[in-house]
Amino acid sequence: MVATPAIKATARRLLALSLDEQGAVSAERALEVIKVLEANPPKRGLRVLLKTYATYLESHLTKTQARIEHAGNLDAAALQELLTSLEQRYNRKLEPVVTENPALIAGVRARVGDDVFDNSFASTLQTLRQSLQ
Amino acid sequence: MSDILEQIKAEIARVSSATQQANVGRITAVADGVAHVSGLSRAMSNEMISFPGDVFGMALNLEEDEVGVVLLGEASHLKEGDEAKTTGKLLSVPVGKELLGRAVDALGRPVDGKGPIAAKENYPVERIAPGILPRKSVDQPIQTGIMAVDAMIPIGRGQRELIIGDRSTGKTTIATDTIISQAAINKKGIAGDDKNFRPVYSIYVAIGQKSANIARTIALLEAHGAMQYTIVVVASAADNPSSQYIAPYAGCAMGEWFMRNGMDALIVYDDLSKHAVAYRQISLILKRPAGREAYPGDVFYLHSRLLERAARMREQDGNGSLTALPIIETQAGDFSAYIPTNVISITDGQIYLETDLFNQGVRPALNVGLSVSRVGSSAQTKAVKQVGGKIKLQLAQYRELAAFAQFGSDLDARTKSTLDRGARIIELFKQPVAAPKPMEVEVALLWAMHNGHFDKIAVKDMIRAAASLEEYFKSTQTALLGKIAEKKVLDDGLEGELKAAVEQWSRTFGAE
Repeated sequence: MVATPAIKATARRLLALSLDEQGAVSAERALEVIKVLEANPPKRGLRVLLKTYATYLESHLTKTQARIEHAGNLDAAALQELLTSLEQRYNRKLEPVVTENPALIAGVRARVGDDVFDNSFASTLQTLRQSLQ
Repeated sequence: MSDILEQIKAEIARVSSATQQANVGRITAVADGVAHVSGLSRAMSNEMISFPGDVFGMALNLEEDEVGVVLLGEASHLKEGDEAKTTGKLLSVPVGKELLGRAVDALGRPVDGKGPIAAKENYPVERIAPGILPRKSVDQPIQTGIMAVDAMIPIGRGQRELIIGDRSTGKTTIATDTIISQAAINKKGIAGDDKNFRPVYSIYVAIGQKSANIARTIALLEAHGAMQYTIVVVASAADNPSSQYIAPYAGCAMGEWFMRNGMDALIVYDDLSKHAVAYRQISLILKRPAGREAYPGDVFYLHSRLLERAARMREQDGNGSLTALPIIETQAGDFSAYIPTNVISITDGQIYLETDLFNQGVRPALNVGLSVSRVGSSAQTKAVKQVGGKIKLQLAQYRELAAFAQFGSDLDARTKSTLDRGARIIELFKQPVAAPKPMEVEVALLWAMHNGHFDKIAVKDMIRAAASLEEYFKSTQTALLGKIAEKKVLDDGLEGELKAAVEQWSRTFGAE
């Protein structure tokens, strides 16, 4: 089932209730929202509402985080340089979330919000494959 | 083997190691060829969106927190949560002469099993139509080879002429006959020594048709040697609605390449009724507000922006042209329905085909009263205009009188003569499938009719007589036909020669 405009509007209100004074997602507030929802579920569409709410939460979180994946070594200096460059680009403070991803083969992939910056060997190989098709 | 290695080396050299930037989102729902994707905040309207498994889609609905994407091709493996990525490119298809002789899908990929197409260029499927300044009036004919059409509803290069009628009334046949006629003219012209000869390349877009029918059309074009000048764009009934929605725009982009490179092209959209139905389906799934007959509000724009891309360009802009023959299927002869009236108002005329006439054996089943060409007469060859000018009027008078004549037997001589002439014209215009006539033969036959040389022949013998006269001209009067083809106008000298030839034929035909 696709979320209706009413469900989307409710999910947006729930997201607003889940943010702290600085506009960041607060885990306590989000849990509180879910507890209230559990206690007072809507007559229809709870599942879709929760999924839409989760999508909005995720989307909001990714805007405040720099999700950095890497294959091989990534030293602290390089990580800081990358983070600074991203913060300058988006003109806001970003929380780094670093994970190792061997599927990249080599290199780094960073994601902020919907934007992905890919400098991995896996992506280069993918480009080469597409150009040879 | 070494070729492949060289190609791989060249591609490796070309691949940049710079950071690739993309905008991503996740599928929140996917059904009926449409994916709803959250994220994709930088997606552009009509941008190509990439999905896992080399599936592409086109961003149609840009909303605050979601993008509605129509999926192109097989997408049954896509599921909720899969990543979607912007490509930064508008949907484009390969174009150029390399596509001639090939059958391709809505994305320009070959579907005929004849191997890859080495096209050098790509054109976006959606493009703004040429403006007012680069256009020129329609002044060159497109010879359909169908005598009734060429004489009464002439079509010019750059014109949009609608073919409209119920199912099984011969709409596709008119279009394929025109393609076959153009192929015959191309062959003759390219083999000849006329430096100013301009071939017409054809694009046939099959939308929502049965695959068997499409295969039959391709086989017909191949059998008559027309495929080498034709591109067939296939979006069959088995393809998803998004492919059917894209196909006419993809075909139009292929035709535009010819036009923008100073060549002439003809495009057949078979048919736009099914195209509108496919678009309605997509729009309803995308939850766009439904209007009349549940079509979305922009269904007029859907067809107007497509058909406006057909044009005749002025000399400074290459002198190319794109002629469009859209086809519309009516239900029970109701051409005042929503989609038919829309397309009638967009096009420069219509060829209206009638079930009753078709069942009476009048083929092509042209309704002369409702058929019209608004701009084609200025493009009509002068010789055809000279002999065919009065035929439409005579036929319309015949139709009017024939209805009354059924009730009474006492008719004055003038009425009787109008009825006799009309009955013979109808017989003369009967033409088998895939047998287009060259312009000079049409002129000779129409001249004979116009000057009363068929008046003494019984109506039941008219088809035989017309075939006999055509054969006579082709076998014994090739020089005269050549002169008509060259001069394209009937002067006193040519009329004298025509008279002598037809009188000679009359004597032999009368003796048979």
